[in-house]
Amino acid sequence: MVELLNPILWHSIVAAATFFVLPTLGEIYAERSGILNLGIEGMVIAGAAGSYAIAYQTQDILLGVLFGMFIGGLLATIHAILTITFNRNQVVSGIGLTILGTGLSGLLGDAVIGKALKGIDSTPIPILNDIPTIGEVFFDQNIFVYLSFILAPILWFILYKTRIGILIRSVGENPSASMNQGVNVRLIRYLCVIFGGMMAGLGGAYLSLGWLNFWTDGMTQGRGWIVIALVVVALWNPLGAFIGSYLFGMFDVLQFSFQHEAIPFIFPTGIPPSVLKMMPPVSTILFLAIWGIILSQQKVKSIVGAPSALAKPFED
Amino acid sequence: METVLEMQNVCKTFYGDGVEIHANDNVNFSLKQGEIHALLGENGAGKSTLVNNLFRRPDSGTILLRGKEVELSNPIAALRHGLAIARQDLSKSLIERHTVAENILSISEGFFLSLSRIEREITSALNKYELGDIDPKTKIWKLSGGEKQRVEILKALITDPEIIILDEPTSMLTPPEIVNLFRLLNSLRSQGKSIIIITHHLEEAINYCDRITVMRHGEVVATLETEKEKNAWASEEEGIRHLATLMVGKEVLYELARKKMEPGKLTAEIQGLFATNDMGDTVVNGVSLQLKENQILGIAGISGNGQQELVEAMLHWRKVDSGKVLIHGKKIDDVSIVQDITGKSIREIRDLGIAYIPEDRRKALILDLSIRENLILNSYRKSGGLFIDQKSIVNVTEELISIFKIKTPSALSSVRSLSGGNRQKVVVARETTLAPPEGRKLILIAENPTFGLDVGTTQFVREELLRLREEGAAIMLISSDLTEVLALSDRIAVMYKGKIMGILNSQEATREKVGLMMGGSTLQEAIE
Ligand SMILES: Nc1ncnc2c1ncn2[C@@H]1O[C@H](COP(=O)(O)OP(=O)(O)O)[C@@H](O)[C@H]1O
Ligand SMILES: [Mg+2]
Repeated sequence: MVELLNPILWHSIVAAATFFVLPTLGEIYAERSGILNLGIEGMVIAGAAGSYAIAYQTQDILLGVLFGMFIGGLLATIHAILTITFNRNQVVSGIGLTILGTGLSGLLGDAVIGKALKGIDSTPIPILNDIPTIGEVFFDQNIFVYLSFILAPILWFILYKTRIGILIRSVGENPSASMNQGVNVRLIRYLCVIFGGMMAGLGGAYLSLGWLNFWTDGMTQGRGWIVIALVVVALWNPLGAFIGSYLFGMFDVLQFSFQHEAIPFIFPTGIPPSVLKMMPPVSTILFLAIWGIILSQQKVKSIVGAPSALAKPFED
Repeated sequence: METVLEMQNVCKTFYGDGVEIHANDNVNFSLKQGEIHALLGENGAGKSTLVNNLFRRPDSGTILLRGKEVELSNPIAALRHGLAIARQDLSKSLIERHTVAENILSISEGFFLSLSRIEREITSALNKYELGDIDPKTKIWKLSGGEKQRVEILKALITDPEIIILDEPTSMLTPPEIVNLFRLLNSLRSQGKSIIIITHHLEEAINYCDRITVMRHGEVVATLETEKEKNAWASEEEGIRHLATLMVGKEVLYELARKKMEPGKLTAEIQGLFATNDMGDTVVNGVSLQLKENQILGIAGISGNGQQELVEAMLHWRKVDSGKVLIHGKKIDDVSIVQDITGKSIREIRDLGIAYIPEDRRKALILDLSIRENLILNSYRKSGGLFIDQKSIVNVTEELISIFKIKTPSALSSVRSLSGGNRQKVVVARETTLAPPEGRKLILIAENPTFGLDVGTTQFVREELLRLREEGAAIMLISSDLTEVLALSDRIAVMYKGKIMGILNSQEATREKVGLMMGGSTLQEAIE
């Protein structure tokens, strides 16, 4: 049996989960403002390539990370212009941007494929780091991981307890009513979508510079798409972003550990890698199906469902 | 008195469905300090458009506040100048999933906000203005229509504006709540506030307002001083008739001729029906009613008291929790039988000769299909076989278009290209010509069938209902327009919070009694 209590295993689960947390937080904000961004995958992968390339060229990790966020934000701006200013179909624009971002990643990362670069070291947090097991798992990580710990509650607080947060939710619920209250609907949506793109770019930078420490074509393996589902699992709540992300982080890591596990009768010689690879997408679909059934209740929907104006065109 | 607000030569045009709508065409309007000014007009006359111009720029024209020209290009600018509005369309004004406090953001400032402070301010404002008990922490979707309307009014008043605009604030309020509202407006007026109120209730304008402006087709037709006019009018009725004539532009209000008729056979019956709304709350609470041939049963009530859910439950658009819907009548060989249609499919129900005119026309029409296709949605199955019998369809639909005077260049135009009134004519034409099976008479369920129609079409639809009644149809007329219910119905059932408060016949039903029952009084209380 796999040593499920092994702190090293959990350490890598946290590392894997962080990759999901960052873009999910950003997409939650975009969707809360009413804009569905299916271009996350493109923004993540372009961010990953761009940040690695710049960091490699300049030997400046911070510059690389900032560039990754810039690329993500730039692609998101295109989405914002198309869907907010010109009211184009959000699904089509998002998918188009994923294709664009994937192409862009090939271009940006071409020169640095397989080139080694010393990535970001982990920075143990004094005192907390000494807590047995927990310290090892959570507080001996790199700065991105800590950032995810801090950002989620901050973003939750902003969304629910500040004026701007209420405005963001208002705009995603009922843009006409918000406009009638004098809220600049377009501005708020722009800010949220661009923020979402920057978080996706940050997730990409973490992937190539903070977690896996290399760049190769197609290295996201479609993980950006899972973010879209994670937003639903999180019920559009920044704190909920952890739940789904950590579950998927577990799948990501455990698929390697389980490869040699035999399951009597079904897989007597060990679980084939292809089956394990199927786990994330299959569980995503299962998740969405279960959530879909629960959320179809009108009463439940009124309390925790998707933002009412999500993906609906708005013309004033 | 000083003029606080003046609009000069204001124009606003909308472009929709390939037509230009001149919603405001060189409108001049003025509001004096300390007056209540009523703005009247038919649906679509341009009243909402006129007042909305104060919260966005009109296409052209000047707006003066205390004699100075101002740009009110957005709601914030208007707020700074001391204007506030309670809007007509609450779905574009209140956010259902947010709390009352979150909806009333206008009084908050800064990045952080103390919701508890806002909640306190709301509670104290509700007390101050006597707008009743509403918990600021409640989500809007949990409130009744009247409560929502009061929140909307509060949202306007809480900014302490100098100029208060109320766009049809009384449509979902009960008669006592309306009296309360006008008492509040009176006291605001005595504090020097200036108020514009848009309403359909002419008696409200006559009794409470200092001046009355009447609009028609995007233009102002007259501004009257109520006191002066009152001296000229012999009675309130004459005043109402005068205003109505100004609104529609011709002497219309010809009386509806409702012939005396004996009630016919019992044809449909609802027994102890319970149903829930989308939120899962029980909103149809043990309703029992009977429909008879040659009779119109009116269901009066403020909209949102379960009428819609009742109809949907009857027609299998909504689940019946308990209770029965029965259809009486002979089927074969003159044997009288009773059929339980509870839970039957919509097709089976309609095949028994039950027609339905829903309030929401989008429920009855497929906008992108042609008028012809929409007219045969009920009967396309009659032709049988795989192919459409084009010739008979052409004949039938051309006939309907001419009988019902549907204004269109061609039967092949899409329904989307029609005006609201003509869309409704398509629905009425199709539903009222539904053929019941041999030996049965039509059962028609009409939900606010004249909502949003102009006077001519309204009159047409009402006469159509009376004609069907004479032909033997049993009609259930659900309407939140009390005048309509009183004018058409043989019996009136008043619905309040999902219950039938009582059933009155047309002789005993007065506006006052029904009004009280619409606000929750029992039949007994209303008679006393
Ligand atoms: N946003 C809009 N787009 C297109 N047409 C509109 C819009 N708002 C109002 N109209 C049209 O302008 C006319 C006046 O509408 P409105 O001012 O709402 O009338 P009222 O409030 O007097 O009932 C109507 O014919 C209506 O259909
Ligand atoms: Mg209006």
